[in-house]
Amino acid sequence: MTKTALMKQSKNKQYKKSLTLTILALPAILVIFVFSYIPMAGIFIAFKNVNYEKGIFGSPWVGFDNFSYFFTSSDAWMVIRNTLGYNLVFIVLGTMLSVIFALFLNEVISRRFLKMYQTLFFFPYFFSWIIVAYMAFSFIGPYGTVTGWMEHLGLKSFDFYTETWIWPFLLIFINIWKGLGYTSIIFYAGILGISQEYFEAAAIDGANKFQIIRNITIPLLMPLITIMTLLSIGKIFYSDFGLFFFVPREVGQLYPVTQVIDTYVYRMLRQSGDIGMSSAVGLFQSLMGFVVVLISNYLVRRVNEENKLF
Amino acid sequence: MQRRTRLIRTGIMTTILILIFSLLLGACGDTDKEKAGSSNASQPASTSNTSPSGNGNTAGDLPDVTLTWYFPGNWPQAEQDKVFSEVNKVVKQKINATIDFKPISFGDYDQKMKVIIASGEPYDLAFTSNWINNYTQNVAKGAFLPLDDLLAQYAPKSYAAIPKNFWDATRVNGKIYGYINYQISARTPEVSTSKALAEKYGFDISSVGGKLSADTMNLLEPYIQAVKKDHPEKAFITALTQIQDMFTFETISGINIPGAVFYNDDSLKVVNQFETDEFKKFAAVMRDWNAKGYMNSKERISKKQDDWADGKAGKWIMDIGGAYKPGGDVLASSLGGEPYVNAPTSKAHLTTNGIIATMHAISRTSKNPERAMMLLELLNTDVELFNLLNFGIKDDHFKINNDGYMVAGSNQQAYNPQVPWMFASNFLAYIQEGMPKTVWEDTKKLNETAEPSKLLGFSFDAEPVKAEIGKTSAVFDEYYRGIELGVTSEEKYNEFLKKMNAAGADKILTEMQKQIDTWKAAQK
Amino acid sequence: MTLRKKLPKLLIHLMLILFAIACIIPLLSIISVSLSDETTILKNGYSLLPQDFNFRAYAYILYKPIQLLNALSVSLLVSILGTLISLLITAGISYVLSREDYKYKNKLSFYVFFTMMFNGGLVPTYMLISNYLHLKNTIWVLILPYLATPWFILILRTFMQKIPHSIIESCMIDGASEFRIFFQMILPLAKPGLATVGLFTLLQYWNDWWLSLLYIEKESLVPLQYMLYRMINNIEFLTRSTNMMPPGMNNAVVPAETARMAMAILAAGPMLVVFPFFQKYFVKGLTVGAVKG
Repeated sequence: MTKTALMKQSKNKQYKKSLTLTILALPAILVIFVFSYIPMAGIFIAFKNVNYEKGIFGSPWVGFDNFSYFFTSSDAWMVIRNTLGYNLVFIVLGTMLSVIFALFLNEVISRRFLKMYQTLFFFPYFFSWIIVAYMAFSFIGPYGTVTGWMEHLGLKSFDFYTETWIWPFLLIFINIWKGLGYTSIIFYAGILGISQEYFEAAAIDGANKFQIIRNITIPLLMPLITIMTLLSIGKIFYSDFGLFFFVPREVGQLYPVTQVIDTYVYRMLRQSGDIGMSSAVGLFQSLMGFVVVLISNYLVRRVNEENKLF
Repeated sequence: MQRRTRLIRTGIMTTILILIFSLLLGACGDTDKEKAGSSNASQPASTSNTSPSGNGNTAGDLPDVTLTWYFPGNWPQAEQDKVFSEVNKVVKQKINATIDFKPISFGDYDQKMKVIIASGEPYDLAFTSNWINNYTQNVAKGAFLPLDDLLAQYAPKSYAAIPKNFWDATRVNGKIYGYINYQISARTPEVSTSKALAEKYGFDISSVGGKLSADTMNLLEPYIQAVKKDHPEKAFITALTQIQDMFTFETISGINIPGAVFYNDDSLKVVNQFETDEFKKFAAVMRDWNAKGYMNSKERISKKQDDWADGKAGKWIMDIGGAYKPGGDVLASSLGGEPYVNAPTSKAHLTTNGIIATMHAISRTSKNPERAMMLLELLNTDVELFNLLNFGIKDDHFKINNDGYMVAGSNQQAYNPQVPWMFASNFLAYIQEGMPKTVWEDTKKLNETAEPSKLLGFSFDAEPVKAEIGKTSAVFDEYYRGIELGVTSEEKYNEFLKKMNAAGADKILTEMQKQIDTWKAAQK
Repeated sequence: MTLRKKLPKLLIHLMLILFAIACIIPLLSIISVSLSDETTILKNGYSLLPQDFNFRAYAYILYKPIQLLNALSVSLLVSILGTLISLLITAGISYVLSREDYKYKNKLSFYVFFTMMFNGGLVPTYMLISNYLHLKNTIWVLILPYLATPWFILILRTFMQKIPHSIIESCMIDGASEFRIFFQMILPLAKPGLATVGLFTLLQYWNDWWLSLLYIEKESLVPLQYMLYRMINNIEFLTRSTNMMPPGMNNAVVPAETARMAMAILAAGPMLVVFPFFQKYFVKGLTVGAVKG
């Protein structure tokens, strides 16, 4: 057989392999195409002043008019700052704590304890933000349990819903409380997926727990940590509407520390509900997140090719 | 490097794909639009064809149609399907139509209608108002059909039953787009307090009835002070949104958007209500009362709005809110869990907002607008049909007692939507036990004797200043609760005014003035 | 000596227990609210124990429970069917993306990821599903849109990347087809990943109310979470805008806070029962054996 024939054969094989793999991925590709890509054609709504009589397609183009209401408002920079600030803390602190808790869980040997912890950690995830807001109110509201305790301790006039300084801490605590069980399970499952041989080899070499964690567990968990972080970074201009809207119970005095892009836009458009204007801010959030992800992905690729997103 | 170009290529491919699809969708959309257009064009023809049977009650030669009707309420009710199918039996027989009922819960209705209207999905009838599924905005965006001709042809009885100036209130650029569900439209807030409390402290509520304003709030103070001394847990309750109709000005786009005209101002000059002496006076009184401890504001600030559950738990001294109406004390007593006494705060005014609060509109996408109008006429003239929708099945969900009053049936919990004004004219409803027999006559009289606003018939098109409206309403959101609870200092209040101006209050006022002037000129 | 060895362990347990308590107390508190008397709570404030213990809130919700039972069966059907199909589809594309030697790996990753950032928005999606696909008021509208969630695909891909490529290669040398490798080798090996994503998919289906809010107008197709959401959203609306509404609205129809809490417990309950089933995949030992085998 000549060399070219060999190459041809392997190329053929390569082609066949690609084809079968593509078939395996095809159902997902189709679903994504239909439910995500086709509606994407509607992004142009952000540049239109929608009039139902003329239909979405016949409505006049208005350029960037739909964007201006947000950027010309005096609070725009405050809410962008809040959004980014909270998200950064959530990403950094949330990831760190989740990894730590996953490592902790990994140290638990008793199955019964392990099951108990996992089940309990997951409880907060089951409740919608509205319910969480009720829960918070039942603790720190004017007739709340915690407020009651504080009165016993002599802090009679402490009112959680008017103290601005405490809300950043409360929101961070509540957000992490709700999501920790969820993300730590992802990392814990990641640790479980690490081949046991690595640990055995390290134990034979006489490494202690911390060395094993630092040199084996964390590096092998790194791809998962990176992907989770990259995915969160993509949403950095979005915020969890329920957390910021329901939990502070819309107390106006707290807006300087609880107002984020999503709640601000919601409040501005509550009256008019203009779809062009709401699409515009959504598009802005997506674009900004996209740019940030492209940059981070580029940096990740520079450091470690394997951990990249695409 | 290579990878990056590949990435860019992928990006370009994606963009091209998106463009292709938007074109495809665009093409589909266009045909849709044409279809809608042609059905619009053919409408007058079909109108004239069926007109002879229009006001008759027989199904006769009418073709069978299905009417899709969206309306909000306390849905779902356990046995709604049973009731709706009873309704359909009657409707089928009378106008040969079947209603496809789309009862949506209050909380979802706005969102739902926004999407349905924007997507061009066909439906026939929908509830619309100034507080849900916004009427003027939908009209401005072309979502509804004008009703003038349809009303005259297919709903002459119910059209005649409602005063002409009510219909005028619904007009936008001279045309009626909303079918009024007739109800109490004259508005002034109600002041109410527990009867036992009033008697104990020797407070005669009728002595303040109709006399309250920002200047005379102190009439209430002796009573509040006396009760407060013995009952520190009780507080004086009101909210800006509740008390707004007590002021001597009418807000044009709601209390939260700058722009108001004084009732007695013939020149119809638009002012910023937050800068009026009256509003500032009110804020000052609340500030004073909070300092005196009447408000329990610490406890209330984390609640968006006070509700009757607190009243029932004995936390209220008195409440100013809602709208005064005949039989209102019966309602307050049932809500408060003990007998209540009530009075109107000030003189009632008849405003556009009071009238357009309950209406139905026919969709631009409706294929059978004339039948939809016939359905409205039927609902507003057929007492039994209306009460079937309203209270459910007789002797099951409700009963009529020996004195002719409506009382709860054994199975009331299975169907009790409590929204009579949602379906049709409220005045067709059976009178509930405890209300005066003449309650609907009294209400109609109240509507007629209320002083009509000079702006009656004007509706503001918010489109040109929608960005400013968004911004100012966000500012209002931040400050109002502090103002109505009296925790906002004067300094803070000035900050609020400054922020309102920065958000474009002036631009809104100018636009409102412009539209009012144009409207006024057209009136003459 | 033993203490020094045990101390870190104890500290770890202490931290875990503290957090576990933080997770369970709010749950206990809403259970206790659901069993309390509404007016008593307003008078005395909240507490961790029920006040005036009674089942009135549950009786209120369970009056004519047919709707509730129907919603439960819709939720179960959607969640189970959706999770099974979705897991299969997601695993397929995730595996392909985890293969270093797949030619279009980067492009496909980008294709998936891009939809996480950009979407057509509410109205275009609604037009497609309602006016073109005609899925409104069908059970499929609750299942199809979530079949391939990018977030889950990318996480599962990362799990699968850990499977040594040598295993796949040796199978190929043995002449196994790609499909056989996927179904017989990869799926069993990826158990912790599949269990994680499977659990999350299940929760996504179970907790979703958004699709039903938009596309379901038939009471017979309303799932449990939407029932809860609708009730609570209704309350939020009524307490926010009763002032604008025409008078005569009796806000006694607003279910008391006790009833809302009871509903929340009923809506979350079934998943708490399902959870332990997944847990066996999150316990060491079982998976270790799988990787070795």
